[in-house]
Parts: sequence; C-alpha cells; structure tokens
Amino acid sequence: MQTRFFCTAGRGMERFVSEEVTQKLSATEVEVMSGKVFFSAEPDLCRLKQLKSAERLFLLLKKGSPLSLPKNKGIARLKVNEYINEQPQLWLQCFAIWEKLQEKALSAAHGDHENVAKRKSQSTSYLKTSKRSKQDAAFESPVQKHKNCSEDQKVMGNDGLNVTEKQFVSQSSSDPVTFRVSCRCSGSNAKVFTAQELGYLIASSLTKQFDWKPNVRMPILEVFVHLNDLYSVVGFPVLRHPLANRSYTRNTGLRSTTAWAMGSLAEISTGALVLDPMCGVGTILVEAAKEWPHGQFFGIDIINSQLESAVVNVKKAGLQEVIEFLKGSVLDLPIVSGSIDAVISDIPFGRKFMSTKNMKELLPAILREMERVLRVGGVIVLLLSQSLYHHLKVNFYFNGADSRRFSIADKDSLNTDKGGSKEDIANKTIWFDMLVPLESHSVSLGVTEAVIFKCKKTISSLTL
Amino acid sequence: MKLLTHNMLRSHVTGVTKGFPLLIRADEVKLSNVDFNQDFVARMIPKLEWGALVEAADSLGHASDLPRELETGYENNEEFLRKVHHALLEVEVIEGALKCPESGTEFRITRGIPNMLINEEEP
Repeated sequence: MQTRFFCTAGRGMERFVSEEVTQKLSATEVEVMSGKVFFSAEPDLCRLKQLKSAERLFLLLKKGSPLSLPKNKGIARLKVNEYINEQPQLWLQCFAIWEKLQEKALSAAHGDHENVAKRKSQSTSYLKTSKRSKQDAAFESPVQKHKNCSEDQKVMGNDGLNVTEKQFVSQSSSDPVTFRVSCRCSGSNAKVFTAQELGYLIASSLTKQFDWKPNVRMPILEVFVHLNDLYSVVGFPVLRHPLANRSYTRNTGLRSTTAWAMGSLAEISTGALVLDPMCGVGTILVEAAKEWPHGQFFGIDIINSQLESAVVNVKKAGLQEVIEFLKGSVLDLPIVSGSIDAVISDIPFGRKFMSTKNMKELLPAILREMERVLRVGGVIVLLLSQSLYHHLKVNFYFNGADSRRFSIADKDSLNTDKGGSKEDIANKTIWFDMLVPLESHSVSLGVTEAVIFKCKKTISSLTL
Repeated sequence: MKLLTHNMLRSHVTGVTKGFPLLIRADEVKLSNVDFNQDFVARMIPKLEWGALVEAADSLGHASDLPRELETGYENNEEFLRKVHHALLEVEVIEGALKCPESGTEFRITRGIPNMLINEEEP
C-alpha cells in the first residue's frame, strides 16, 4: 500500500531528497516545493529511515491551497476550526497509519511477534509503576536510522526500540492520545495569528473533536502544521528525531545532509579511493563511508586536534576499517599523482583557515593539487562559499581550448604547471585544462549560502 | 597506516623527483581482521604499484609469498586475492616512521597516523 509522506529539506537540498526517495524508496508522485519534498512510498520504516539528505520525515495528513485567513480574528478562528474539523475521518486514518508504522518498526526489529507480545506485557506493567521515567526516556532516546533493521538492533541496542514500544503500549492500553501542535506560519496568515496562537487554536479544536489530550512536554503524537501563502500542510512526524541527526556522529562539522549530498555526487563505486584533503573532524568522509562502504577513504588535515576528533568520530561510526588519516597540507599533498578516484572537500570559508593568505589566492594551488592527485575520469566535489564560487567562475578557466601551456597530462608537465600557477594569479586567469565543470548546486548552510561544485578530470583538451 | 595507504604516499621534499615508495620502519604493527571483499581487492589491484606493495609487506614480514610480478587472471584467484587483502588492509603500522628513498627525510607515524608535513614548524 502506498502512503503519502513528505520530508523537510534545507534550502537547495530538495533535488537531493527527491532523487534519494526515488532511488531508495522507489517513491512515486514526487513533488518538490521550496523546503519540502512530497512523495508516495511503501510505509516501510526501515527503508524510510535510510534517507540521508532530508531533515525530517512526516506522514502527510493533508496538503492544500493556502488558508488565507480573514483579518477578523473571530472569523479567522472559525476558519481554522473548520480547516481542522472538515474531515475527521482523515485524521483518524492518518493516526492509524502512523500507529501502524510505529508497530511495524517494532516487530521488524524484534523479528517475531511472540516476542513483541511478551515484551509488551512487560512494559505495560513497567508503565504503571514508572510513568515519569518512561516519558523522559521517550524524549531523550534517539530514534535512529541505519542500513537495515538488524543492524539497527545490533548497533543501537534496545533503547530506541523500547521507546517506540512503550509509546505504543501506552496507546493500546486505552490511554487517550496525548499530542502537541507544532505550527509554522508565514505570509499573510502570520499577520492574523502568531504561530503560538494558531497552535493553541488547533490544539483546542483537536481536543474537542477527538478527545485527544494536549501535552506540550511528552506527547505521543506531534501534529505539524505549516501555513504559508503557497500552501497549507498538516502531517505527523514519523520519527521523534530528525533524520539529519545521525546516530553515528556528534555532528560537530558540516551539516550531515550537505556532507551526504557531496558524497552522493562523488560517484563512489567498489574499490574507489576517496580523499578529503582538508577533512577537519571527518564529517564528509563518515557520511560517504557509511553510505558507500566499499571504497577506501583518506582524510588529510594539518591540525592535530582536528585529526584527533576525526579519529574519535570514525571510531564512533565504526568505520576504522575504511577511513585512514594523514597529517599533511592541502597545498602539498603527500599523495602520488593520478591515484585518487574522488576528492571531496569543504573549502573553509576564509575566517578559520590556517593561513593569513586569502582563500581566493590559495584556491588555485589547492585545486591544482587536487587535480594532480586525481586519476583521469575522477571527480572533485567541493563546497564553496558563494563568493568563492563566484570568484572561481569568473577567474578560473576550465578545460579551455587555448593553445598555450603544457602539452600532455603527464606528471612532469603537471609539476611545471604548478610552478606556473603563480604567474597565472597575476594574470587573473587560472587555467585548469584537465578539469571539466559538471554541475553546481546552491545550498543553504543555515546562516550562510554555499555552492556544491563538481568537476571531472579528463585528458587535457590540448591533446584532443 | 595500512599498506594500501602507504601505496598512495610519496615524499614531496624539494628536489625529490619521485619520492616513492617510502621505506617503512615499524616499531609497532597491529594485525586486524577485516571482512574480505573479493570485488574490492580485485578492483584495487590495478590501482596499486604492485612492486611497492610486495616490498612494503615484505619489509614488515607479512608478504605471505606474494609474487614479485603480478600474474594475469588474478581476478578469480580467491586464494591470491585473500593474501592481497591481508597485506593491503589487515597489516597496520601503528608506531614507526616512513623514510624518503631519495632525501632520507623521515616522517613519523604516531598512533597510526603518518605526519607527512616536511617541516612541523610551518603553519
């Protein structure tokens, strides 16, 4: 049975989400809107949890045209009530599917139903004795995603599952549904009500309609409502924690979703050698190695403390076997020319870079080194600040057909080329004869905007 | 540092032309069990400097009679691929040093991480 879901996504990440749901979930009716991706898929929590490019996953209750509330608060209030109450059976159906999803996750993880039943009765009695601790656990315990459910069970232990179980049990033991409303409101509706006012309105409406009990701190169900000038959406979060919160990382580096997206562009196949020459705490490598574990990954950084954290992160993610670290400089990589299949890197945005030199001045030398270590056919995926990307677009000449310079892509001519790049900077045109730009994507990193840029190494255009 | 990583490393000391392969001095070697993936190893071999791998494995006493010359048809020789797998991924140098074959410059390996910076005083 196909069920309608939606994911929230960071700005610019929508295309990665829509591709990922299509690929991993065989999703149909994929519809992309700013910040959200709607799709139909099997309600298979194991597979849904594998999504890496989205922020949060919701079961869709309804999506429609904007609510456009009138200015008169009284009438507006009635309209909100009507919007919530118009199809009560829809709410109950959606809640039933939501419950079933929680249940499915439980039985899939436990393997057999007998076991589930047994555990259920145990936790029911547990519930009676210690409701309070149940609630705390329910909130703090992570609901995780992993390659598959059996791994889930092994790696995560039972904590995450017990939570779902307890919630579910408390439900089936005829307690009323406790819920809270998370409301986001923008555009003209925001002028009539604040998000809090609306949330309160919707909550009281639901309480009257279904006899559900509002509970802000520890609800069983969260009701997500988003009203703006383009559409109105209601959904239930499928998982308590955002998909973007990885169980295997402390997330101290780059946003996990962006790091994953970079990996998805790097064409990592079995036996691929992947390098991050400014790996920091290793976020990109961890995301890539988790998803494409049949490559070999190398991280280089110049700062000891970064490498130390990277080693800890890799250990936590259980990826020691596939990721290795080296201390070195991106400006002078200790790597044999033409040996790497993919270079992935988050180019620092200037302020935290170790050198006093401006990143714009350093970028040609950095890219030159990346080009050197890459084999022909290999790809480079970079995350650049918008201004740095603009600089690259204006001043760098990729795979140009100009007649000057080195002739053939052998190692020696590359070295000559490296020496010549300083003179290029003076000329304000920097040549990368062997790099073909393939794609670029603007993505939001919260406060800053950045660009994911991908290029591929070919043989020099001069030899064609 | 695994020997697979070693196979990608070069010395970049000024004036050095090739700087490869680096000589290994191992003070502490760790052997671990890594799941064997035949496809991975078969695809990795063409990317390697074969002679350098055998030499490096030999210098650590873990060459397990790997041939000096790569024989054709190895893709389907599981026994052979398992030996390569062992040398590439299961032998790790934890403490020791790498030495540039031309300049003699040494790079320390500490807790499995080679420090490839030529001058630690640099930025």
